[in-house]
Amino acid sequence: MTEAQGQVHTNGPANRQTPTAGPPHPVTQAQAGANAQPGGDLLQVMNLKKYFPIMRGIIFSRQIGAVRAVDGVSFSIRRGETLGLVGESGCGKTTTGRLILRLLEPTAGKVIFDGQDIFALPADKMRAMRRQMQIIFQDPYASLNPRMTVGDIIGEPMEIHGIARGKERERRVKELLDVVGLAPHHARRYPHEFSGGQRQRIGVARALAVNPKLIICDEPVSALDVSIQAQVLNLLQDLQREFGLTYLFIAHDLSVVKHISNRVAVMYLGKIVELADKSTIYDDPRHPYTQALLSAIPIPDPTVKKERIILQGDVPSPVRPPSGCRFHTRCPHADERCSAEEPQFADVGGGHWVACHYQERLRRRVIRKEEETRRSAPAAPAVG
Amino acid sequence: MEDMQLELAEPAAAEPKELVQSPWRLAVRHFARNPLAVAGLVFIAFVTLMALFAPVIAPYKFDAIDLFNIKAPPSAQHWLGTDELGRDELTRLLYGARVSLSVGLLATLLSTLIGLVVGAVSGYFGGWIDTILMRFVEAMLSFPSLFLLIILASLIPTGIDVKAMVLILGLFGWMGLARLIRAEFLAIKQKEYAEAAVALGVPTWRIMLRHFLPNALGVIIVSMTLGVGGNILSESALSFLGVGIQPPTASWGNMLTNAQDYVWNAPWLAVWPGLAIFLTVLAFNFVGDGLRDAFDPHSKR
Repeated sequence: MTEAQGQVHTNGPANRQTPTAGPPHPVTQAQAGANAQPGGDLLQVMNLKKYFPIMRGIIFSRQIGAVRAVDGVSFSIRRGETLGLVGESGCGKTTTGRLILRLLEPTAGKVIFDGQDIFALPADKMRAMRRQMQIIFQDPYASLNPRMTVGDIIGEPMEIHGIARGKERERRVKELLDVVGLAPHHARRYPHEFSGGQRQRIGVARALAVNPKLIICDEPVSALDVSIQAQVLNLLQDLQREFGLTYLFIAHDLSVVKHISNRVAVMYLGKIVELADKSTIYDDPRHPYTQALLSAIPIPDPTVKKERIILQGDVPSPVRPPSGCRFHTRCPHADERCSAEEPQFADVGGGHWVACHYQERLRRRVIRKEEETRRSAPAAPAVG
Repeated sequence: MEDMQLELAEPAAAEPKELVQSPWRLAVRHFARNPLAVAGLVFIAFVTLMALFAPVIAPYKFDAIDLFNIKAPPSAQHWLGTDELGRDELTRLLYGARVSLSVGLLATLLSTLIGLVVGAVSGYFGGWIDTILMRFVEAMLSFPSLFLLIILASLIPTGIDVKAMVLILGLFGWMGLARLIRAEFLAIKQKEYAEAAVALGVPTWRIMLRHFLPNALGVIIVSMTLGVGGNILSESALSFLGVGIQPPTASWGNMLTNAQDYVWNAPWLAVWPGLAIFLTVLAFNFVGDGLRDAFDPHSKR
């Protein structure tokens, strides 16, 4: 079976890096040749923006505003790594994924994939480039064409990119079905004959069919039963190890991302507010929004008392985002400065990027709180 | 259940030749459970066969005049009677079926083709192309179609034959379908499998043909079926008004025209073509409704 998988995927061995090694470039310098080395960035996203226009009028329509779905996002993903992208619904994380694949045209910004500015590519080059980057969708019921057999769904991309046709295509389809844990004879069936988890596996096989380097996982387990979620997550991890895949893993809660990511970016209202190694994000969150998200993860231990940060109000409209720091309307620590001045997204050391004026103070607060709890409850088991 | 199948390790060598439940097969099964629709289909098949073999079946020549036997009631020689020129009514009915059915089918085919292209391009590409095409559709829809058809028909100097009829009905009957297909394509465009096709680098024409069209085919087939009935009616109406198929060629519509003068002393002249039109259009509508139910995912029982 391993042999078969090796034939399907001709990618080199996984270049997995320790998350802390090497300088991170959330805001990347334009260096075209930098990704030639195996450990470099596979993907660089620079100041990406997508404003959806709001039009009024029927024939002579004019723009009366814009939804700032993605408003200046920068990050990079190293080869073989998994970057988790987390945020509430409507924060622009899905749009970011679509922009990277050029399923949407950006308002501004660049996406450099493997040394190539993909928005500068002409249509035919772009179509060839699509082989390198794939997507796994959230809804396994909407992401498979109901009128195509599973064999055609997985086999079509091979044909289009000239990877395999005829008997060879059939053989590879069966191999891929095997790789994702389905049976070869499933190729003749239609999507409606499968369960949600199985469909998601078909979606994974379709993405793998073209031997991509990058896979954007757009909440691939959010629509699945909890019991199936772990199966699919494990499958994704196994495939990454086996084929040296790089993932951008989009999710709306930090607990799923924790399982699979090397680094995590937290998004709020079209901007990334914090980006760091997984361990840093979970142990030393600096941005109050990240802290709130983390406090929402339930801990399956009744003896551990945790301060829950409940955010007040709703996410503001991305049509008219708040002035200054976008989070100030809901932030428990905000003051005048936050509503007047937008915080810089800056490296606070060790590749930990935060966009908050008071990130240092907030960190100490967290530490002081921990000390207090430790002192006031000496009977509690020592953590870590 | 499927999960269980997954776990039960199936013998890899023996690939079971199971019945694949394709969406089409499911639709056929659903259709077969609808008695009205099946009856309609049987009737359409019957009329089609009659029309195809009219020269063989018909007892007389379609324009054979028997002046000694005009307006004869149904009898052993003339099963359905004769008209005002002594022509056999059954023969003319059979030949009329050829005209009505071929006009209905061909005109629908033509309008479907136009509507398909316009609707698909409009829905898939959107933007200004969509705006222009849809304003054009609205302009076409604003014409009073029956009057337009009458004027057009009277403008053709050589008189109306089947070909001209098909062109007139086809060129002015595609707008509804164009809108329908546009809406369908817009809906499919929102589906993730459409995005997946783009992300996989599938060429645009292939996305439209292999990913969009098969998912819109249900709507197209239903609308075609209903369209055939509608076009048979339109043809009859135009012929009835005297601007359609010209005698001596028989069509159900122009048979009715002649019949209206004799409706009191030879009522069968109106009854037979009227009944033929009524039943055929009804049959097409039943089949159309049956197909709609069969393709509609919400009506699965």
